[in-house]
Amino acid sequence: MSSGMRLRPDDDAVEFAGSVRELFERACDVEALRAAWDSGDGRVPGLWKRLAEVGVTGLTVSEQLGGSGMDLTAALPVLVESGRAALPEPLVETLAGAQLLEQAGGELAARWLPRVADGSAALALGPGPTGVVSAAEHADLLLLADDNGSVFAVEPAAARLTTLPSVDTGVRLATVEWSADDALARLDGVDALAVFDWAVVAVAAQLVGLAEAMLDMAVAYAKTREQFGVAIGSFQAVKHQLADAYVATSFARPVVNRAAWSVARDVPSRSRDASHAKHAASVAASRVARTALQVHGGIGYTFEHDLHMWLKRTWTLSALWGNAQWHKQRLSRALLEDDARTRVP
Amino acid sequence: MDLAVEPSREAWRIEVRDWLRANVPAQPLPSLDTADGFAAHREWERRLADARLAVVTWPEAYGGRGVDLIDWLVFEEEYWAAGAPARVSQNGIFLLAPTMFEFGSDEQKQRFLPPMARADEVWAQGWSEPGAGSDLAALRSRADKVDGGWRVNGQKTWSSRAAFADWLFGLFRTDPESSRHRGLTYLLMPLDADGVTVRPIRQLDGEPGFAEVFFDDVFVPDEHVLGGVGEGWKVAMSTTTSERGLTLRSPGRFMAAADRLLELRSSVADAGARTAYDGDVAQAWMDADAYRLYVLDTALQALEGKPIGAESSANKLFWSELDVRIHETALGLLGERATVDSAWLDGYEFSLAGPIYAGTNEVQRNVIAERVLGLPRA
Repeated sequence: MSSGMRLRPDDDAVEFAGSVRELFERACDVEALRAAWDSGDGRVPGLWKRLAEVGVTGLTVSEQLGGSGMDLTAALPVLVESGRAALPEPLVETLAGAQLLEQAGGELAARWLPRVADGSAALALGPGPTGVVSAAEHADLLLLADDNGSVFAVEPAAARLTTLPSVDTGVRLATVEWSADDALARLDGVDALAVFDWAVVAVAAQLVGLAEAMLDMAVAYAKTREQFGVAIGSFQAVKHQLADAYVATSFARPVVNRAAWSVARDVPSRSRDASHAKHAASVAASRVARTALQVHGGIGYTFEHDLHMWLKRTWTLSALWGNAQWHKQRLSRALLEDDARTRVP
Repeated sequence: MDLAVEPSREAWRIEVRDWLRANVPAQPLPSLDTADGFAAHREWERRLADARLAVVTWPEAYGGRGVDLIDWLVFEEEYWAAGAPARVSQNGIFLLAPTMFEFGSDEQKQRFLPPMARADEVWAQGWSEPGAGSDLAALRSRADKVDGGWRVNGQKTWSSRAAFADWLFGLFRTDPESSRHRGLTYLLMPLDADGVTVRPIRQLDGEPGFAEVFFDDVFVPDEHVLGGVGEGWKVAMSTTTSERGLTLRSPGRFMAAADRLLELRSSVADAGARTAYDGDVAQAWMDADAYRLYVLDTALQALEGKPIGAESSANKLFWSELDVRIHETALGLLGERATVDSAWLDGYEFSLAGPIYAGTNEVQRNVIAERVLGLPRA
C-alpha cells in the first residue's frame, strides 16, 4: 500500500531512537543508574549534556531556536527508550515545558529555548491533577498554572519548593508555593491542556518502554533460573503470566501510538485518546511489574537486584500526570456525557 | 506516522454503508443454529453475493472485489455497525478459502469457491475428535488408500454448523503407521455422502450449533484432497493462523457491541444502576478500540509483507476475553433481567465459547510463551 497510513513511527524516528538507545546503554547502564539512585540528586552526572549533544533535549524546540521541532509521533520512540532505560532525567518535563515557551514566543522563548536545546537549562511544569510538580528541583525555570489555567514562568528562587520524599529517587516530586506577583512573566496564548495531553502521552510511551524492559528481564530470568531441575519458564503457571504480560504490552502500544498522532494533529478526540493511552500504558506496565516481581521471586524483592528501579519508576509514572483511574474517568466523561464517540483513525 | 484516511477507502465505506442501509433486514433473522434460521441466513448470503459483497477480499474472478485487508476492516466495521446478520458461511469463506487459495488446484478453486461464496454450499469444520481437543495432533480418524481415493472411518466432534451444512473440511490420518503431526491429510467431503452420520449437539443455548460426525467407510476421491497427502498439518495450520490472526473476529464486531453497550447504559432508568457500571462500560469501549488499533497495525504490517505468525495468538486471547467482558457488563446493566431472553444473553452465551474454540486460551498462552517469548517447552 502506497499510502502513509501507519500506526508505527517513521523509519527516521526509529533510527534516531536506536542511536539514543545506544547512548543509554553506554552512559545510563545499571551501574550508572545505581550510582544515580545513591547520589544526592538522583541524576547521572553529565548525561543531560550528552542528551543535548545528540539533540534529545531540543526535540520540541523549533529549529530557529536551536532544536529540531519534532512532533510527538517523531519523538515517541525516543520516549519509549527513555522508559526502557529507566532514565532518571527531567526529559518529559523539559520537552513539554519547551512547548509552552514555544507557544508563548517572544523574549522568554528566545532567552530560554536555546538553553533547553543545548542542555544548560531544564524545565518543569505543573501542577498535576493532585498538586504535584515533578522534576521541580532540577528545573531552571518553572512553568506553573494558576487556578484559572493561566500559566506563569517562575524562577526557582522566587518559589518555595517542598520536596516529597519518594521511593523513586530518579523522579523528584515536590509541591510548589508561588505567587503570580513574583513570576517572571505570564505566558499568553498558550494551550496548557494540549501540552498536558502531550506530556500524558509522552509518559505513556515511557511506561510502554518500562513494560518492555521488565518483560525482557522476567523472560530472561525464567529461562535461566532452575527449580525442580528445570528452567522455571517451562512451567505453565509461569508461562501464562508472562504471556498475559506480553499481551497487555502489545495492546497498549498501538493505543499510545495513535494518541501521539491525535496530539500531533490536534484532532477533536485528542484528550480522550491521550487518556486512553495513559490508562492502557499504566495498567499494562503495572501488570508487567507485578508479573516480573512474581517471576523473580525472592531476589526480585531485594534492593540488590536491578528490577526494583524499574518497578518504582512504573509506580511513579503510573501515578503522575493523572493515574489510570483519573484518565478512565476523563475518558468516560467524554464518552458518556459529551457523546464523543468518533474514533480516529 | 500518518493515519490520514485515503479518499478511496472513504468511498468504499460509503458504498458498503449505503447498500447495507438499503438491504439489512429490519427484523433480526432467527438463530442460524435452527433450521429456519439457517435457511434465512443462506438467503441473506445470496443477497450479499449478488451485490458482490459476500467475499470482498477474494479475487473478482471468484465473486470478490479483490480489496486489501484495510478495506476488509472497513467493510466489517460497516457490516456490524449496521446490525447485519451473522455469517452462516464463515467457516468456508474465512477459514477454508484462504487455505484453498494457498494450496488448492485450479480445478478445486473453480469447483468449490463460487458455491461457497453464494452459500449454496455451506461448510462445517472437522477438527476435534473425542480424544483430540486441544491436543489436535492426537486425532485418530483415518483415511485408507483405495483405488481412486480414500476410505474414511472415525468420528469428529464439536463440528460447527455441521447440523445443517453441506460439506465438511478436516484432518484425517492417512498413514496408519504415523503419529502426532505426521501422516495427516486435509480432506473435503459432502455431508450427505454414503456412510456419513451427523448427530446434532445442543449447545449451551439449547440450539444445535455443532454436531458429532461419524464416518463409516466413506469414500473420498483423490481430487478432494487439499494440499499434499501427508501434509495436512501444515495445510491446516495455515487455516488456524489466519483464523486466529485476523479474519475470524474482526474489530467491527466488538466496536458495534461496545457502541450498543453505551446505548444500553443510557437506557437504564435508575441513575445509581446506570452509573455503577460506568468504569466497566468505559473499559469495554477502550478495549474494543485497542483491539481495532492492534488489528489495523497488524494488517498494515501484513500489507508490507510481514507474515502473521504466532503473535496472532495474542489477538485471539484479547478479543475472546474482551467479548466476555462486554457482555458481562451488559448483563450487569440489565440487573435482575440479566437472564431474561435477549440479544445480550445470546451474545453472552456465545462469548463464553470464545476462550474455548479456535484453540483454547490456555493453548494460546503456551504458543505465546514458547514461540514469541522463547520459553522452553515442558
